[in-house]
Amino acid sequence: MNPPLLSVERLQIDAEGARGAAPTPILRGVSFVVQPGETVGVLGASGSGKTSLALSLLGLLPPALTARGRVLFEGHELLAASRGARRALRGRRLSIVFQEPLTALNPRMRVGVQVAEMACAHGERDARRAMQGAVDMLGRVGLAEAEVRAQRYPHELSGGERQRVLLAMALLLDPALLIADEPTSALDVTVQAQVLQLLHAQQRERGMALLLVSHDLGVIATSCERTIVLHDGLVVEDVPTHQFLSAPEHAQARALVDAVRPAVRSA
Amino acid sequence: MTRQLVARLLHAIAVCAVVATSVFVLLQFAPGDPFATALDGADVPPSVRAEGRARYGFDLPPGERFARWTGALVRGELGYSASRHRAVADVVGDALPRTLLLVGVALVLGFAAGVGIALVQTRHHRRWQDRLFGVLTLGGVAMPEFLVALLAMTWLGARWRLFPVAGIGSLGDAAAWPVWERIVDLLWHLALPAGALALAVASRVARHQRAALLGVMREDYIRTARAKGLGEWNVIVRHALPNAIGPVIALLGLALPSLVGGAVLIERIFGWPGMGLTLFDALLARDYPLILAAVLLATLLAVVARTVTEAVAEFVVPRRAREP
Repeated sequence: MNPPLLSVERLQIDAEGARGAAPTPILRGVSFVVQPGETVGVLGASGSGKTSLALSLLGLLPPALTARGRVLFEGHELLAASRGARRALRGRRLSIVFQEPLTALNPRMRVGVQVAEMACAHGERDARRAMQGAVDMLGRVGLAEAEVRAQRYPHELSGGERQRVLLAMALLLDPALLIADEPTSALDVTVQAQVLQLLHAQQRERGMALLLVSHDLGVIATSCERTIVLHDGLVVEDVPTHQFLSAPEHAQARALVDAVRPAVRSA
Repeated sequence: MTRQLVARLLHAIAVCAVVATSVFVLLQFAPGDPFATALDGADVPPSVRAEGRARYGFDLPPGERFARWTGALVRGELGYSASRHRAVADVVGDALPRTLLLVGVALVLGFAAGVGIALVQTRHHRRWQDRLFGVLTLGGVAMPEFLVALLAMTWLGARWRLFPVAGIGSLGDAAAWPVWERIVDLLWHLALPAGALALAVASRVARHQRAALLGVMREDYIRTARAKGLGEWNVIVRHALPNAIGPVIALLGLALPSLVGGAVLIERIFGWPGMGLTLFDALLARDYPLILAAVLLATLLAVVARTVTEAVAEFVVPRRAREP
């Protein structure tokens, strides 16, 4: 078997204790792998460390949080890599779609420029070509009238459109792994479904791996091949999704499935 | 837009009217008049002073003098400066450009330096660069401008002889010099007074700008910018600064009156013949028309500056915030 795209080994994240108090563990030794092109769901209640996990993979943890362990991505040891090396990977090989489409975009910058900036951050010198690439990508993620919309500011777009802008940004440079941190939680249900469909269409088209982080079992059940359940800073379940839905082993996972069973069955 | 402009104009006129009236009233309560000191010596008979007062109308009741002065003001006449033996308009015409140069250079230098310092502090948040500038700008805010001016004058001027300690130009036949030499000479004389004023501006701007930047650095879109793989300087300058600079520009407008006040002291210390020094001399000489004109002009300057910075700040604030 080929080496995995991403391999997380005994990842621990600690929050700095206040005034000499012992640090609070957020993740207590998490291990899992993601194969190229695979879709993996990370499921957990709020506060289970899902978002910290996603941020630590990108090296964007807030200063008060420290990560230990090993994270291998395309042969790079991420936690040991230099800041420059990690920055070169961010956005180009490893990108993320954030939760809040309103606050995740700079209110003072046209959305097209914000997308084009992704290319400029990774060596594109020609601003016009970067902008053209951004407009193309906005069109491919289904933003109507991309040429015109690219000149708009974030507040002039709807929540779903903003999420598409963020997705265009994340997909622009054809990353090998896309992390989606609650990509649909801030959207209403119909838009949610559209965005998820779009995510999967783009994923199939590019053969990209997707790590979908969510507290929403429905989202993960309908879209992920494999499900990882985080509880209390540990991985309590790591199985194919159908197996997880029919026979969850861990008590917490069982509780999650039972809570939404009718909805999942009908899905 | 037009309505706003008219409203602001009316507001400015009202402020000037209130200031003019208050200064006139306050001067009535101050002891003395131009003739209390102008004709020096105890041997000047009281009748001579009385004659002078009568000639210039100082024996009239205050109400009538106020009416005469405002009447002249409306006709665009500022009066005659007894202490300078020139029309007030001419005195002001000479002095005002010099003050505008001094304050303008100090403002631009101080603003640029302050924003630059705040950017460095944000880039190196909680490291030694941040702490060092934190202490320095606190010192700059706490230290009175005249102390900075005197220290600069003593060390940079007198001890090390890098800059002239006073005046606006070197002695000699300046008119015969080439233009660029005159400009260099002017800037050379400007360095210490403008530097002393700029230091105070830079310190205040840096402290406010740093706080505003650090607030913005916690926003989600900063995280997005970092997730793109942008370098930290790019993140700060392209994404944080445009969202953090609006309030600081507005602050600049509010700080301008105190800057003009600071300029009075600085001009006095460095013998810079601008409005500040003119006002100072006019006060000592009880040159009422000149005092009133100077104060009125300073008020006008402050009002105009505030209106302009408000307009600029409104243009610069995040677009989201302007949504209803």
